[in-house]
Amino acid sequence: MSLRGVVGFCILLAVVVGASVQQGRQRESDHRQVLAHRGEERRIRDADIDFFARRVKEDPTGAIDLAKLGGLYLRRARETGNNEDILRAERAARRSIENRRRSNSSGYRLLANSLMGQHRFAEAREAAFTLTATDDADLTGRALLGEIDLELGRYHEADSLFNRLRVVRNQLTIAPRYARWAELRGRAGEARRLLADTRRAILSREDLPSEQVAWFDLRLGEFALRMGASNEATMYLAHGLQVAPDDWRLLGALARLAATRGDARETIEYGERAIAQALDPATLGVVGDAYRTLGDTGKAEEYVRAMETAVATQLGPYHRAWSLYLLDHNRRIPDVLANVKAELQERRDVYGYDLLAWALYKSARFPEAQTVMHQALAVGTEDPLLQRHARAIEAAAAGPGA
Amino acid sequence: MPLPILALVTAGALLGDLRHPLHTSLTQIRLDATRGIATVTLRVFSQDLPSLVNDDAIRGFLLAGLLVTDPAGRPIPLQFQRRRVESDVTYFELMLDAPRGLTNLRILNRLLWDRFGDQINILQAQYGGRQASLLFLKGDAPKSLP
Repeated sequence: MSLRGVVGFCILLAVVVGASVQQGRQRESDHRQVLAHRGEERRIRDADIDFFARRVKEDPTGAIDLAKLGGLYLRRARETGNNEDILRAERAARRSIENRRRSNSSGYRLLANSLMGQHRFAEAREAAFTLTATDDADLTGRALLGEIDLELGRYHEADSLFNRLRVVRNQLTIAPRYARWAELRGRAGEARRLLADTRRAILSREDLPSEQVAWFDLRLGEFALRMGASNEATMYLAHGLQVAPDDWRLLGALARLAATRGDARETIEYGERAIAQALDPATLGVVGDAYRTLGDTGKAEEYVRAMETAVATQLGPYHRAWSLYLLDHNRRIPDVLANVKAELQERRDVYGYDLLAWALYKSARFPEAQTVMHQALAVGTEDPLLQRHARAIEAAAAGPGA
Repeated sequence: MPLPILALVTAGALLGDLRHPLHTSLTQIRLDATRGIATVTLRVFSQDLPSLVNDDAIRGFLLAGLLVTDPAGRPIPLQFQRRRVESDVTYFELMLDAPRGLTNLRILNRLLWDRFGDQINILQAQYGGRQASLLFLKGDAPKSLP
């Protein structure tokens, strides 16, 4: 290369490097701005909590302030993972209802939501039922009741409620629940379109906290992840992280996404960031698996043992994702089996039957697993996980060589 | 105040992971290699803490819970700096002399083990261009930073 060529190359290189550094600085600056914005949102949220807590103290006989205070506790619970805030929300809701039994939709809605957050679905249904019975114009209340019916496996009741909400399904307070119904009832495409449309509507608004904007990215990202559309999942989750860089649910989902791609280092990176914000036992399991992939069995065992400790001390039903993890790793199979059987007494939903079928399969009880899996598939849910379980159970039930 | 629309919309889907009270703490250690000092920040949910009426009580609580030794087993003292409360979370800041870095330091984080059988203490350290994590469950022995 001539001297002019070398000089030209060096100038070009300097320009490219300079632009790259500039881009990096811009990204860093944007990141700092977003974090500062998130910090400000949290500060305002906490100031609002203090404000309404003071008002409630000054007038303990009111109902609206208690419902607002409880709503803020629920929001903080989502953001920080602090279970105590859900309990605070429930207490606020009960006090609100005690103070005013009639015309208190926000109190009943808060009670139903805080009970759902604790997976006390039967009680949540009672609260939502009272809400719809006392205010039949409350469409959000009906969607909430439908959502609880879905969790309880009362699909015919849910069908009846959501069929009547079709014309208002685009409303922000109804769309996510309607989409969940469509997804469970085998219309995944419709669910995806509705969520995507709602997300677009959300992005054009400036009055919503970033956590609530990012929630739609999380929902769509997890949806795509379930369906095996990893590029789409990456797009949504990455966007969500731009809006809410420290959201532990997005970080956990990104860890799972990296795990599906077989990228153990990225799984650990996202997983550790998620755990630093809030501890989700499922993320511990995913990170543990990533360490095992890298050959660090000691570290893997440390994470899986932590996950088991968190799960084992729980009263009542295990979280579904934790149970699946334990079964997939052939751990605590009898415990999970007994647990899901007990849970199905009250909650007979698709994923409960799927979990029972999978626990029976892992217990080598294949014909029983086959029967239960048919019940899971009867609802029509499109989910590759269900199909994968069904195939494995069918193959095992048919016996070797079939 | 923005209308908390989704707070009333999506509790089921969003809060599904939160129904169980998990007892955790997070400790983050950052090494300032030029000064040979590490900053230790401990984050705990305030409701999990015992009553800590003054700095002596805080020191006692922290120093009994968080033990650091050098590779030869000699204790390295932690200096309590300050406590701050943000929202429902309490942060404790400590300093640690680390003239030789953090590699091979042995750490035991048994904070709150006496209060909660399921306490999980997470420790994340940044030093020498690397990151390392340690998890401490009740009954664990001290662990080394790699």
